[in-house]
Amino acid sequence: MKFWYLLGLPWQALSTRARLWLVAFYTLLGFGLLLGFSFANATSWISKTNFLLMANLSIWVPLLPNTLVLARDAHLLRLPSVEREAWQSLWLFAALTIAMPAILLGISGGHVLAIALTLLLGAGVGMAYACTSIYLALLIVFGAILNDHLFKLLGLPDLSQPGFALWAAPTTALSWLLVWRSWRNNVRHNIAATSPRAPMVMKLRSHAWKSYGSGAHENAETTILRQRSDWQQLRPNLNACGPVNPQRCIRLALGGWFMPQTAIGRLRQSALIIAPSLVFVAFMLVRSLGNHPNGSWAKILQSGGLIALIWFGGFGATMLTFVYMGRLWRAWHSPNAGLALLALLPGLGANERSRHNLSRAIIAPVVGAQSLLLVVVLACAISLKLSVTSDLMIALSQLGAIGFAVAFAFAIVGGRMLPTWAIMSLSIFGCMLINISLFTPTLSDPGAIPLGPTNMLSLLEFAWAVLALALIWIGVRGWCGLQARPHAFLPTGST
Amino acid sequence: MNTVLRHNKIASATPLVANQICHSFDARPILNRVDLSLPAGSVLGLIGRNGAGKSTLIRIMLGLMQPQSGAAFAFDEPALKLTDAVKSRIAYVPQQPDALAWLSAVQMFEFLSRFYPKWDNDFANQTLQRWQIDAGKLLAKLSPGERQRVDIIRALASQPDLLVLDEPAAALDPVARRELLREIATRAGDAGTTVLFSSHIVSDVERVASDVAFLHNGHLVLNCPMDTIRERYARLWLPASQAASVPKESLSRRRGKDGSASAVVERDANGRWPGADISGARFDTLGLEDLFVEIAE
Repeated sequence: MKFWYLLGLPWQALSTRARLWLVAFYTLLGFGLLLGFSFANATSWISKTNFLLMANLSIWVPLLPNTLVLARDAHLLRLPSVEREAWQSLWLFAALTIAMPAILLGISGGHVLAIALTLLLGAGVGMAYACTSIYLALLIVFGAILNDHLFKLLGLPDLSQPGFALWAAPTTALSWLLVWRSWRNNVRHNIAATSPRAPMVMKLRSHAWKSYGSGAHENAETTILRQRSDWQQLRPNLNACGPVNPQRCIRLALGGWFMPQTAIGRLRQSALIIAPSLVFVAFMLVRSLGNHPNGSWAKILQSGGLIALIWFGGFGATMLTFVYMGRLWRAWHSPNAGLALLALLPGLGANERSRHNLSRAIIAPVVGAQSLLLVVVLACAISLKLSVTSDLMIALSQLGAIGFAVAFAFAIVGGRMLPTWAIMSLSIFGCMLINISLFTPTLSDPGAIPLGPTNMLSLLEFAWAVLALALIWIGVRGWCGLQARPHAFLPTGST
Repeated sequence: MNTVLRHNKIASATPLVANQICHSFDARPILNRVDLSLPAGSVLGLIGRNGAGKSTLIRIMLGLMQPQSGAAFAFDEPALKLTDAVKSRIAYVPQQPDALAWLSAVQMFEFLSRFYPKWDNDFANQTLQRWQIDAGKLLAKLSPGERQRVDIIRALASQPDLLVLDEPAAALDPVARRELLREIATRAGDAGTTVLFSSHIVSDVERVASDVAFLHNGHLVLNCPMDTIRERYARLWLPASQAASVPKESLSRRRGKDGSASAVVERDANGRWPGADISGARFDTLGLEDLFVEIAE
């Protein structure tokens, strides 16, 4: 009886919505695996192990980390029996998905240690992805994508070769060490789901990704700042912040990356953003190296480095837009945050003037930063000697991100934000266009016109025109809303 | 000349006025035709149960929210269109201060001091020291009580003519609460600062307020000087045989298990208690806390 209870515990630890998603996911995965088995030669123990690895990942990534969260919650709530059962459930799954298949495949002629290590590594990496911060999770994803290239580059022996355990054992130990450390950190510090250090599983479980910018967490800003180490904190620069420079004051009161910072603080913050992008550039270089093992470094740098920079620029601009929208949204939905202070602060100018100052304060920094990215991205595109159409498409993806930032900024401060379904639909539509315009030229042959032979290019142009019109409408509507408000610093939902 | 006239006009203006304020959230009425006036030099304690609409009323009176109907004025200017001259005379401390969390207390004071001509830097630094608050620590990293005290210091350092505190004692320990109340009393007494503070801690209001206003179910059910409470309001008790005769104008009414009735009543314009002529009627004087419980329960 206890066996079935422990087996079902991870499922019980999920929300209804997560269960529905998982059912859909497992259905698709089941079909995929069945097709894989039908078409592949799955008779050898190596093939069977690889199939089992995939199946294990589908359990250890989306399902079992929630059981670890259950153990953590039970620990914090002083419910030792629930905590014990959560751990027992995890051990049971380890026995069923790692130990038992390894023994069974070993009996049928496989190498038990290699199979056990493979499955343990898969489970460890999967758990580490779900249980560590978003930064480490991204590294793990890059690592997984680069799997084949890394094998080739580093000459790592695979499952069937003798030296397999030499790299697999330490990697497995490292992944489980990460999981253990994450669990301890979570238990000790009770990390909030909105914190950048929060594990992915916590973010997904609490819908922190969705509510972060929605004002549902009015004190989210304070929580994030509280959990940041000193070296991660922003370094505000108070010079010239006063009635003589109201726009600077508004930026200081709104906080975030665009507030006035000291040069060292700005450098430090830039490094925090650029460092992960270097990982991305390195990822692209390794990928190019894997694709062109005998290519010259210049060619590899060109195809890997420059394309990586273009992609980084595109991602950067999109992320910048959404992070910025989230920050403004939060500020205009939190009555106790900076708005009350700004509304009663003398020296920001009369109503008309303060509206003008606010508009410039919220638009200028984000447009400035994105314009810089546009220049970098265009320079890279021109260096790659892409066609003019390609250059225009890349520029359009950047301009799209700028358009989103401006339109939604006015919609938020003007109190004329669209309903959530409309924002989501438009964002998905916009992201799709940005990605198509970014990836198609960089993945096409240099000099070729992307989507040229088909009528897809005209369709893309039409889609961009529709998006531009929608953004102009949202922006103008927001701007009119701002003009109609009695003063510039009224929170949304207060009228 | 115009500046002098304007200054005199502002100086003699009523610090805060609310006229027929109505507001609702999600179709639930929060404020219903609320009228409130805060004369210069008064210390008004705004009391009410949690969720009674105290914060909403305060925010509307300061122009931080737009009411669905009615109007609010600060120093005779529309609250939603305050000039810099009026803004510099107002200090507001929200219930959970969240602004400028990325600055330290010293940085926040340095920044804000540039906007207020009468900013008292010595007071700010000395009070920070006296209240043992780490001046260099990020505001986000302070405890809620410390954060609230920093905001109170910020408000007081600007030497406002109108000080508005929304539940100022909510996160404070008893010692800090006493100090705050002392400071409010001193400011009001020595500098003539007008103070509006909301609270559901009735003893705090009794200690410092010159006037009290009670917000209940969206209505301002009483608004009077503190020292007239005992004279103006009383609990009327009626035996079971007279329970149906409870005066219509009573502020609250309830029935006992034995069929008797009790109600909170206010003296009429002639100084008489309503229901005084009913046989068996008995009147009990009420303190502010009893009055609060009688009406709110």
